[in-house]
Amino acid sequence: MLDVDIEDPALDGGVAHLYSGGADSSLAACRLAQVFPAVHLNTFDRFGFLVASRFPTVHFERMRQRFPQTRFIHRVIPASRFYDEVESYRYWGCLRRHGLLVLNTCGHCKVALHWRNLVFCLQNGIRYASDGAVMNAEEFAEQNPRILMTELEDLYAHFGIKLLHPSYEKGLSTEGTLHDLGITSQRRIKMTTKDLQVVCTQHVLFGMMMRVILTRLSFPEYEAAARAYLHGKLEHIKETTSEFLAKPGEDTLVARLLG
Amino acid sequence: MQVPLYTREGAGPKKRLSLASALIVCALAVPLPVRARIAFTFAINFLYNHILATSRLVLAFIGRQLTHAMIFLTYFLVLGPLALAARLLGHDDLGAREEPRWLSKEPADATDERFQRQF
Repeated sequence: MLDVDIEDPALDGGVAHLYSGGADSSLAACRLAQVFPAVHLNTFDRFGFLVASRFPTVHFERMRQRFPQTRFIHRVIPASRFYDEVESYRYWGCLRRHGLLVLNTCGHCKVALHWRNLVFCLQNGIRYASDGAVMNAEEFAEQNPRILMTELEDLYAHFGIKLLHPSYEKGLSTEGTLHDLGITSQRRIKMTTKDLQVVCTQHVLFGMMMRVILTRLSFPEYEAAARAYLHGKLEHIKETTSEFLAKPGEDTLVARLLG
Repeated sequence: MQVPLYTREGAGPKKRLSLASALIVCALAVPLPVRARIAFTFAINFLYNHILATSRLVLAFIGRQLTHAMIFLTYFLVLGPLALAARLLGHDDLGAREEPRWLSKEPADATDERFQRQF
């Protein structure tokens, strides 16, 4: 099911999973639990998020009971500075070149969270990372193979880490599968009161940006433009993270972002 | 020229009002620093999620201010000038310029018919 070599000794180091507490990332965590002995559930918090401490723990206890052989380690990691850096990096130049794509808040957010997750992997010697990307959410850059999915895989691969998408499968009903696994009490949880996960308030700005941009561009044109725009951000991440690794203990950008 | 406004291929045309509101929000958000932009989206979220309640509050406020303005304008632009004009033309409907005196009053109608129709 997962694209991993089960003989790889790096599996013992576990996997760092971007975990919001929703159905998609919870199912991804369950699938990881079938392969990895340790799953680090990294819930990222930043200015603009509403993260209630109980949100990501709703499915957490049931997952531990369902997969007793796997060690789930849940953390809430602050990532505000990473987001600020991604969004504000060459902002006015990007506005000139890419227009309203500078308001691609969801793209910035996922790039920033993956960056923080990458740094977490590098600091803890973890060779596998994962997210809750699903099919048919292609307006979101990190869940679109023509925008950011492969770019993110390349970013992790640059540092010797493999990025997995356990829930990215055609025709998969994440809610139904999660219910069948006994993690959720009902088959439908998205958009209900049971859907307790990290809530972001910047979706509205992303929606407004898409509304304006898609009056001028077709969706494939938007994908190409978004890819070109976010590629610049990823290059910056690659460069600064390499500097962080090359100069341990020094006052590099990533060291400052980590505080 | 009529331009069809589509969000995605196959989707219905967007209303011009929603496109205009999106343009306004984007134009306001672009020049803000990162954290201010995030705070701005909080405000926009609140406004959109509570648009009915917010518009009721705003309209109630406007209504109160408008009532005050209308009373002020009616008094100073209608009633005041009319009273001044009437005075200049010598009208004295209340008899305020006359000497105080007793006014004769018709005797009360004490018939049964008046008793049946008191008002």
